[in-house]
Amino acid sequence: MTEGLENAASAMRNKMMNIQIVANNLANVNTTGFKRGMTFAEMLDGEQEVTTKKATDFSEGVFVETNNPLNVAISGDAFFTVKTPEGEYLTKNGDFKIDNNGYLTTREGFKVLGQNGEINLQDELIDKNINLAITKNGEIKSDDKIITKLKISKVENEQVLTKADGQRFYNNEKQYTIANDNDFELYHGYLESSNTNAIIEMQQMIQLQKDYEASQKMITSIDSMMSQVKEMGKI
Amino acid sequence: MSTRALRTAATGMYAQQLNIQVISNNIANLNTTSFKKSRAEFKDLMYQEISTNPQQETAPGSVEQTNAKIQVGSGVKASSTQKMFQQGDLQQTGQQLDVAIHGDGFFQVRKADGSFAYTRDGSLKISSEGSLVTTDGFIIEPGFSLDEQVLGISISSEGVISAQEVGENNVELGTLELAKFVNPGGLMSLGNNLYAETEASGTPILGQAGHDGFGELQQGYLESSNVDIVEEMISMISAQRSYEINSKTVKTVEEMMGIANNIKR
Repeated sequence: MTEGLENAASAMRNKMMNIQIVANNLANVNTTGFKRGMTFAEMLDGEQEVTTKKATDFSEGVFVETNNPLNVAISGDAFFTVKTPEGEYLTKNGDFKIDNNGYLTTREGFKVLGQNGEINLQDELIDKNINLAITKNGEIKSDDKIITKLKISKVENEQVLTKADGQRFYNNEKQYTIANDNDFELYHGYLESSNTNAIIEMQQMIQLQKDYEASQKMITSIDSMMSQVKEMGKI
Repeated sequence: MSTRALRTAATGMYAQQLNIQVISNNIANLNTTSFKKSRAEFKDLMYQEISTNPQQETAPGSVEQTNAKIQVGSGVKASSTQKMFQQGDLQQTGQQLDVAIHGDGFFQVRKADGSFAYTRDGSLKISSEGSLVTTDGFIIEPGFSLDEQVLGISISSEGVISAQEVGENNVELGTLELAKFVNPGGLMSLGNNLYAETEASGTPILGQAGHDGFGELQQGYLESSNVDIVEEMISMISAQRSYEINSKTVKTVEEMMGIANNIKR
């Protein structure tokens, strides 16, 4: 009897935790490069013979044109690599800026890595009317001269990545291999919007709420059954 | 646990409110000379690892693919507002002291407190002392003085100012200098179409219009605002809907808490 109570209570706790994931997805509906978290029910994809677990949905968000020369969207299973004091991180957020020393950085000021390390564009910016272009395979060009190539990284299994604030992803080693040119495509002057889908999240929210209610009903009916059992004991 | 979901939804609502503020400021400045639109930027907040993973046991035939950690995020915050320095349309005004910058660069002005500020608003005037000033009376630097005898002023695309004086030929008065920044997006808006240098923008690089990547000057034109009303409207709709959907989260969590409270009758 009490086992049923505990099961129902744990189901309620579980649903509440899932609501938190949905709430976070919805809060980040306008966050560039955000990848939605998946609720526990969604994680188990049992359509094929094997069941795969997914914690993050890495499907592509919509590409929005911004015409900003420092905006890049990345298509395919690859990431930009940024350097932070704690090591290299990956991100899908290609909303870059140039800091006061001329380095290409993320909005938070972490340096974006090229294949030869940090990218400094100071000379190109001062000397001439810069016509900065980023090609589909990650080369940064000013007019026809190739300055450097962005370090675009690939992870064999994206699901092992851990999320960090600022749309960053990492795994424990924080060392990433460079992706092949045919693994990805860059879109210059575009940003990838959040892949949160309002309809899916709303549907999840309704379902979680109903399940929550059902578990609560279960608890109350077990409770009334238990009190009936108690009644039986009375003569 | 539940109050965290409420707080997460609240961060989402707050972020959208800020987004609307930025959009409404853009729309309000639709007709402001040389106004540059802003865009709010968001970033996701910290993730917390929840130790209990209810699907930890690997069932036969299943493949463990995740890092076995359940991460729960805690919402969103506005990380910055970004100024978009795209060129606005040049509008002909026919005024000889209206100067638009076509391309990169800012006019340098000296504020009342002696510090420099930068503007792209080229609707210039001549002050009572004969110096070239902006609409708000800030003196253009490096300045030069004109006397009352001037009949007409011409400003070349490279910024050379020459005046036609009574009974004389054209007299060259000087050259307007422009300033540009490594990262104009890092400039601080001061209002009145003025910007101030910050650590993020870098120090100003002075130069002559039409050279070394500086824009050219167009006399008789003003640069209009670069706000695109259709784009702003679309952003406004999307921000309002996002606000609404976050309020739905609040409502759902509130109802769930009510359900939990009803366990014990």
